Amino acid sequence: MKVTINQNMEISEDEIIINCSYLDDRLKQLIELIRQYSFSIILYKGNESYHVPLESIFYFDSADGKSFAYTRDKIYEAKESLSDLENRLSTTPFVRISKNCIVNSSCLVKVKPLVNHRLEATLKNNEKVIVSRNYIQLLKEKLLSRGGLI
Amino acid sequence: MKQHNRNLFITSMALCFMYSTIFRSVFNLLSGYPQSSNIFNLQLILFLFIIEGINLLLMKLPFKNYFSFMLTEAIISYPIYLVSAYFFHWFDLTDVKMLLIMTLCFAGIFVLIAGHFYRRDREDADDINNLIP
Repeated sequence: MKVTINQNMEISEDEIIINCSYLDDRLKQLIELIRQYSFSIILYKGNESYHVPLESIFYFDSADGKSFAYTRDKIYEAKESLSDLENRLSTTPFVRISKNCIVNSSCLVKVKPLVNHRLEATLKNNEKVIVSRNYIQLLKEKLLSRGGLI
Repeated sequence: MKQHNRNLFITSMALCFMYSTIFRSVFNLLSGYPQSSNIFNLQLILFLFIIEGINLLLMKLPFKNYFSFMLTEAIISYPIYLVSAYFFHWFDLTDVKMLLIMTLCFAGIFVLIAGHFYRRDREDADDINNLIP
């Protein structure tokens, strides 16, 4: 793949243009990563706040009324509720998979069926999260929209 | 879409059959036709209600896989089936041949239903796995 970078002080906004003959899955993944790159979210660890890039977050969950974000090896606290995060991240690969979990669909490796029409999703860091039956269709739609880059 | 249509078809058929049977039995009993089939249908609904209640309780437990869940459910359901058969006089429990036939019926229905749900969940998982790049 040829990569051309035009550096110019007069350019006010960074722009990425992809010229391709066919939009394959690898390219779609790359585009998704680029899209996530422009987003970061403010998360907290104790009293310190961090700008965490979205693509490094595997999932959000909630416990005892608090929301937490999980990266490969760190856990942060989010000040927003899961519902607020769900709305805010609706245009990103994040999707609600249960009452208390929002997952980054880019981090999914596979799913397998469990009893009670639930699915066990394995993430890239080998963590497992549960997809509740009411959210299976939502996950399918998110993955479909990612495939078509809607 | 194929899976969705099949699930819709099976659910629709099962609900239609269930409601038709219940309404027919209740109507016949109220109209003074106490045939055994009318009573049996209502007994069966009561039995299924109990089994589904147990099913809901079992679903809250953390089973390792489908097989252990189904096996536990079968082990719990079978004695309830025998007790129901005894109290509702569905068949003669002392007749070994009849007991064997009815046990096979129970096992057959159980395997068909378990297989349906497993296949449905497996297809859901396969659909999602195919969408993961």
